[in-house]
Amino acid sequence: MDTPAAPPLARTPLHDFGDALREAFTAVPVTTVRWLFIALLLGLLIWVVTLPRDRVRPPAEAGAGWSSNLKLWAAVALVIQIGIYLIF
Amino acid sequence: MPSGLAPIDYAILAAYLVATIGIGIAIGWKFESGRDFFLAGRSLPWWAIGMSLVASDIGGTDIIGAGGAAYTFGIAVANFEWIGCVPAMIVAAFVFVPVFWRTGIYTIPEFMERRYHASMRTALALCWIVFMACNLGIMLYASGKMLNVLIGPVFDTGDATGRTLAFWIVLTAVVVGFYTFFGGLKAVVYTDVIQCVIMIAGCLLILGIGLRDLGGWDGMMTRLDALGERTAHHGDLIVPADQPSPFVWPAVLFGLAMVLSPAYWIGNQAIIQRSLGAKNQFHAQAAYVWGAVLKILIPLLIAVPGLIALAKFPDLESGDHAVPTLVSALLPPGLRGLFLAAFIAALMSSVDSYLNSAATLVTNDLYLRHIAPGAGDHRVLAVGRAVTIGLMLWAIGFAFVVKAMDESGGASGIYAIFQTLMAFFQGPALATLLCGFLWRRANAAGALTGFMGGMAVSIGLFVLHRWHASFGIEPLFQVPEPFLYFSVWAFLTALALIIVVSLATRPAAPEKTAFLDAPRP
Repeated sequence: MDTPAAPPLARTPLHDFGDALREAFTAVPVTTVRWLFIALLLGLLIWVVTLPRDRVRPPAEAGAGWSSNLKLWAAVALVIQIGIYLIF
Repeated sequence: MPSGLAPIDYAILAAYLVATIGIGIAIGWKFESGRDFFLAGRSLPWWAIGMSLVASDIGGTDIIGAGGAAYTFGIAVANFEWIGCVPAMIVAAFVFVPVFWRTGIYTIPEFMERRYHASMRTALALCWIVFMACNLGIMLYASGKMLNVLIGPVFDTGDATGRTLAFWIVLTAVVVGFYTFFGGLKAVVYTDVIQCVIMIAGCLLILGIGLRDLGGWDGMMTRLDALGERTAHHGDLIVPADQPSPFVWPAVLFGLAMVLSPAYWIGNQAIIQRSLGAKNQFHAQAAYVWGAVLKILIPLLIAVPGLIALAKFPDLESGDHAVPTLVSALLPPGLRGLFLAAFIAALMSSVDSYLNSAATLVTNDLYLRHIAPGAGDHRVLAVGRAVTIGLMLWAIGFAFVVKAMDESGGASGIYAIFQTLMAFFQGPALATLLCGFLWRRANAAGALTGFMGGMAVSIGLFVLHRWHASFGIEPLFQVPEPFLYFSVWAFLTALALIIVVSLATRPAAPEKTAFLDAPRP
C-alpha cells in the first residue's frame, strides 16, 4: 500500500517578499555593485579628510610631527581599500 | 615522534608557551585593583592595542577556516577582513572610541545604563556573558580538534586520539587561564603582541614558500584558471547574488559591512575593552587606525594560502584540509614548529580575550552592580581573578560536553549555531548603541523595546527557518546558515522600534545625554 504523499509546503508573504528582494539584487550588474562598494569607501575617505584637527591629533603635543596625524593613516588605509576593490 | 614533528619543532612550541606564561606572571604580580586587572591601569600604548585587536580577531579556527573558505569559494572571503573591518574600525576610531574612553566606562553594558537604564545594562550583559561562556568551550574544543589534526596523537596507546584531544583542551585552557589570571587585560594585550608577530611570521612563511613553489602569483592564477568553471569566481571579491556562495554581495554589503562589522568593532566587549585601557584618548583612537592598516595585510596571510592549496591540491576532500595539507607538504622540520606556534598563538589570543572580557562583565555588570556595589579595590581584583578561574573551568567542562555531542552526532554545525546566537542580539545591540550616540531623543523605553523586539524577530525567523516543515512552510532563506540575514532584519526591526517608541514616550532626561559631551582631557 502506498504511503500518502506529504502535503506541499506552503508559501507566505515573507517568501514572496524574500523572492522579490533576491530577484532585485540578482538584476543589479556586478559592475554597478563594484562602484557601490567604491562609493562607500570614497564617501568615508572624504569624511575622514574633512575631520577637524582636534579629532585626529594628540592635544597636548602641539609640536607632534605629521606622522601623528591619524587622518593621514586612515586615508592611506581607505585608498588601499579602494585600489583593492577596483582591481578584484 | 608520532606526528612527524622534529625535536626542534617541539622546542619552539615549548619556548613559546613558557615565554607566554612568564609574561603573564611578570605583568600581573604588582596589580592592586580591578582597574589594573580589567583596564591595565589605563596604561596601554596604541601600537600594542592595535596588534592585540588584530590578533584577537584572527583565531586559530580562522587560519584554517579562512584558508578553507578561500579554497572552496575563492578570495571573496577576504571581504571579512577588508570591507568587513576597515571602514567600521575607522568610524569607530573617530566617533565612538573617543566617547567610550572619555566616559571612563569598563564595559559596553555600563555605557547602556548611563545612556538609558539599568535594565538595558543587565539585559545586554547577560546576553554577552552567556554567549562568551559557551563560546569559550566551543573555541577550546575546535582548537583541540585542529591541534589533533596538525600535530597528531601525543599518546601511543589506548584511545590515542580522544586522549590527545583532551590533552590539548586542558593544556590550552591552563596556559591561557594562567597568564590571564595573573596579568588580566595587560597580559592579554602584550601576549597578543607576541602572538600577532608570530602569527604573521608563520603565515608569511607558508605564503612565501607556497607562491615560490607555484612560480609566483601569476603561476598560481594560471593553475586556478585551468580548473575551469569551478574557479570562475575564485578571483572575485564581489560575487553575484545568484551564486551558491555564502559571500554573495548583498550578504557582504548589508549583513557584514552594515551590521555585523560595526556591531563587532563598536559593540563587542572583547574588542572595545582594549581601547578602554589606552593611556589616553589619542592612543585609543590611534590603536584602531593602526589595526585598520594591519587588517589590509591579513587576507594575504590567511586567505591566499587557501588558493595556493587549491592550485597545488585541487582534489582535497574538504576545504578545511587545505592549510594543514600545505603545512605538511611545504614546510621542513623547524619551520613546522614555527607555523604551529603561530597557530597556537592565534587560538590563544582569541580565547584569552573572551576569558578576560567575560570576567570583566561578570564582575562589573553583575557583582559590582547588583551584589556588592561598595566593594574595595582588592576585593574587586580578587573577584575578577576568581571569576577568571571559574570561567576557565566552565569552558573546559563545556568543551567536553561539545566533544560528547560531536561524537554522538548531535553537534553538527554547532559553530554555526553559536554564530547564529550572536546574530540574535548583535543587530539589536548595534541599533541601541547607534541611537544612543547619534539621536538624543532615543530613550530607555525605546531602547529596551527595540532590543527585545529585534531579538524576538531574529529568533522568530530562526525558528521559522530551521523548523519550517513543522510549520508546513517552505524554508525562509536559500542559504543553509543565514545568520547574516537574521542580524540585518533584527537590526532594522530594533531601529524602527527604538524610533517609534522613543517618539511616543517622554524624552530622556538631560543627564542621560550630557555625558556624551564630556570635554576632551
